[in-house]
Amino acid sequence: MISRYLIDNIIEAASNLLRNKPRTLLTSLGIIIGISSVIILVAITNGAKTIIEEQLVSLGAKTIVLKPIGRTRSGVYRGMAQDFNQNELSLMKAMPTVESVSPIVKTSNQVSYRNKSQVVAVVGSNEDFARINDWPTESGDFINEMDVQDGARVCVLGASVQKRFFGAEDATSQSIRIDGISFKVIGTLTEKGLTPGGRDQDDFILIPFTSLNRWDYKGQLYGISNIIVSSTTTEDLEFTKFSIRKMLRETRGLLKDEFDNFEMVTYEKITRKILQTTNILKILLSAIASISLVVGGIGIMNIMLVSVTERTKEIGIRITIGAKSRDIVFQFLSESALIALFGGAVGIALGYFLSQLVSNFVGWPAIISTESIIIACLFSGFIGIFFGIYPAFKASRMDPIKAIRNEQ
Amino acid sequence: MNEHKTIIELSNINKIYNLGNTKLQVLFDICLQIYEKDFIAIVGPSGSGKTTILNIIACLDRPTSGQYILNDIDVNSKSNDDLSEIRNKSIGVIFQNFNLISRHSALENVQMPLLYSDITDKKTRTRKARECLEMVDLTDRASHYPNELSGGQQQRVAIARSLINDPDIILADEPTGNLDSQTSRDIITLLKKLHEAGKTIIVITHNDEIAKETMDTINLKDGKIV
Repeated sequence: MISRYLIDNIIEAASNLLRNKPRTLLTSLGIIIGISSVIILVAITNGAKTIIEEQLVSLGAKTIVLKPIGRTRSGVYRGMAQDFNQNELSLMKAMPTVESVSPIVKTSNQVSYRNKSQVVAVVGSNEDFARINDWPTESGDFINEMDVQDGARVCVLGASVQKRFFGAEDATSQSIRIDGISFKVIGTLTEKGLTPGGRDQDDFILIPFTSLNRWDYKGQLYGISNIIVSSTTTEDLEFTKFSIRKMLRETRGLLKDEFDNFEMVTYEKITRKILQTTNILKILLSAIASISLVVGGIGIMNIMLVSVTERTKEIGIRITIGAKSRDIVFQFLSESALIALFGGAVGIALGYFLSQLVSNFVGWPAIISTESIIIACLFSGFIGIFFGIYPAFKASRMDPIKAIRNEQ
Repeated sequence: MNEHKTIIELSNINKIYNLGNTKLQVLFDICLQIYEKDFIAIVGPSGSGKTTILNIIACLDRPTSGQYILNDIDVNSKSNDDLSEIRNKSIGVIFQNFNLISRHSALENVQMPLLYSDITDKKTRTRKARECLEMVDLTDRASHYPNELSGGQQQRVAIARSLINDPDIILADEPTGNLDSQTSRDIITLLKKLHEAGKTIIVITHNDEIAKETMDTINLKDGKIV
C-alpha cells in the first residue's frame, strides 16, 4: 500500500523532472559541486593524513630515547646520572615488544687520514643504528652484528666526514686512524643535512660501540649515554616503556621512594598533535565545502518555489479531485529530494574521479571512505527534503478555488 | 412529493468575503434541499452567487455561517483532509474550462483521482479509467494529451474523471459554456444518461436546453433564491 504510493510519487516526480532536463540539471549543479568538493577534500586530507602518519612512524613515532638523569627531591641535576650498561641493553633486546635497540656512546677523537688530522665526533653504536634512524648507506656496508660482537675496528663515515677527508674519492675500503688506531672504512652514510637548529647531522664517524670500549687505552670504559629503543608497533609503545622502566628500576635496585635515574623520551605527544591538526584541517575544509551545499539547497528551494507557482492550477485541480495536503507535500518533497539525490550521486562520481586526478597531481593517495559516501548520500537527501519543505507546504496550503482559476 | 432521501441539505447558509476593509456578502440565508437522483439546474445572472453555492456543495469552500449536511454528515465539522476524501469519493466536479492537467494523457487524467484513493493496483486503475472513457465514448483517445483534443472531447475526459470513483453526486459549473451548440448537446445527452444511471446532478448553466432537461430549476439573484 504505502510502497505503491511511494513508487507512484517517485515516478511522477521523476517524469516531471525529466520534462525540464536543463532546469533539473542546473538546479542539482549546486549539490553536485558541494558533494564532489566535500568528497575530494575529505579524500585528499585522508590521503595526506596517512602520508604524514607514515612519515611520523619513520621519524620515530614508535621509538623511545633513553637518557640518564640524576634527580634529587629538590630538582634535577646531571651529576648523579647513571649511564646504561651492556647487561641492561641485552635485557631490553630480549623484550617481546622491542624490535631493535641501539646504544649511543658519544666521544670525540683525533682522526687522521694521510696528512689531514682533525677532531671528529665518534659515535659508538650497533647494527640497529641504521634501521632505527632510517639512515641508509650511500656506499659500502653498515656495521653488522659480528662487528659489534668482536669489537671490530671498522667504521662508517658520515657524509660530511667523507667529504672533508676524501673529497670526491670514495672512502670505502680505505683506512683512517682514530686516536692513532687504524680503522677500516666499510661504508659511508647518505646525507641528512642540517638540523632545524643548524647542527650538521652528517659530521661524525660511526664505529661498533664495543670496539670503542676495547680500544680505550686509558683504562676508562665509556658508558652508554643514550639508548634508542624501537617498539614493534606504535600501539605497543606504552607497554614497552612500562617494561623498560620496570626492568631498569629492578636491575638498579631503586627503592620505592627513589626517583628514576633515567628518562624516556617519546615522540608520541608530537605525533598526536600533528594528527590532531590534520583532523582539524579536514573538518575545516569540509565545513567550507559544505557552504556550497547550503547554497545548492537554496537553489533547490528557489526552483521548487517557481515550480509550485507554475503549477498552481494543477495543484488546485489535484486538491479538487481529492488530494490531501500530505499528498501535495509528498509530491513536491519527492521532487526536491530526487533533485538532491541525483546531485549527490553525480557529485560522488565526480568527486571520486576528480580526487583520483588531484591525487595524481599532488602525489599522495586520495582515500575515499565508504563512510564519506554514505554521509554524502544522507546529507544530500537531507538538503533536498529540508529545502523542499517550505515550497511543498506552501503548495499544500493553497485554496483550491483560487488555485484552479489561476491561468498560466 | 419525492420518494428519495435527502442527499444535500443547506440551511441558512451565508457567505461573506472579507475584501480588506469592506465585507462582501454573496449568499444570504440560503436554504436548499436536494434529493437523491435529482437533476437540478441553478440559473441566475453573473454575480448572483451560483458558483459560490456550487463550491460550498462541492466541499471546496465553507459557508461563513449555516449548516450543510451531505449524506447525513455535517460538513462544517470536517477537516480539510476529510473534505478532500469526500470530494474524492462522493462528488464529481466538472468545470467550464475542463481543468485537465495538460502534461498528462486523457487516461492519466481520468485515473488521477484514484491516486488519492485506496485503489493502489495499477491494473485496476487502468481498467477503471478505460471503463470511464468508454462511458464517454473516448476509448480511442486514451493516450492523447488535452491539447490534442477538441473542447468537447476534453469535457468528456473531465466527465470520465468525475466518474472514476463512482460518486453519488455530479456537480457541473457551466459545462457547456465553452462549447458550440452541437457539442453542448452531446454533453447534455451525456449528463442525462448519467442521471438515468442514478446520479444526483446539479448544473449551473445559462443554457436553456439543459434547463429544459432538468427536473427543477433554482433561480438565484443577488445571493438569494427567488
